[in-house]
Amino acid sequence: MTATLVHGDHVSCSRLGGSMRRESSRLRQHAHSLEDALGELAAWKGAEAGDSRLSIEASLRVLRATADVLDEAGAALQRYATDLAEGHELGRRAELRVQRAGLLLDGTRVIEPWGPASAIGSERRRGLVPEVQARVDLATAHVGRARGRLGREMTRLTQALSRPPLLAPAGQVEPLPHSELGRTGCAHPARL
Amino acid sequence: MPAAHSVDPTWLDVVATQLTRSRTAALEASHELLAHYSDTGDAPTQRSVDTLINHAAEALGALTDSLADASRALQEAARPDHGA
Repeated sequence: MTATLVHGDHVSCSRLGGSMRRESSRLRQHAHSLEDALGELAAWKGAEAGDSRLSIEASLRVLRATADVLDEAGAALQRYATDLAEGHELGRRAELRVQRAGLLLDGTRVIEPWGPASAIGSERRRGLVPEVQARVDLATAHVGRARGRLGREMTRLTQALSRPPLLAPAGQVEPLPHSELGRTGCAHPARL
Repeated sequence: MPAAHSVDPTWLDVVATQLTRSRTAALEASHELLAHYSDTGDAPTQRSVDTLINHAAEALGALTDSLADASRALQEAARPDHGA
């Protein structure tokens, strides 16, 4: 019954979101360890040292930026999973109301059943349509807003992933500020 | 090129090892992302999620390659006969 009005599986969305955030956390730990290790090479001089350091710093920035994207995407998916679960419950209640009112659902539209009926019964059902339709609309609008939010967030983060990161000067591997993620994103260091 | 080795080569190995570990983590994260299936219940929303996942997996794959290259370069530089 829950699948009629509101489609989707909130458990699978929550699992994916959780997995993204776990991987993000692991990648951040690796970025931190790598940065610590890199600090030990400060005394390493020469052209080769400079090239290597630049390459590693670029990778570090991509590592951090990707971890940030995964964390944000995972959080967005977990929020969506909660909204979807609420939508399922609202949908379930709305469908129950439709059934009890003796009405039918045509997609998301509440309609009166076709066929012979007493004038009183028909009048009674017709009078219930606006209220029952409002319940259905509440469920679909709730999920619609949640999908809009998730879609916009995924698009923004995908764009962030597609943009080349700023290349930090050698020896200055600063954490990528959260607010700059949209501007810097991440890409293969080789493309820099 | 011993002059360029004003750092203990052991540290080059340490960083190379850390790069290799990070590479493995990036590769595993890429696989993990692609291993999950989510059902958002709406085709356009699903596409936006799938696109993000594919881009993230691609970015991690590219990162895997660059970390491997950097690790190899450091291992090479750490060799006693390097630049001889």
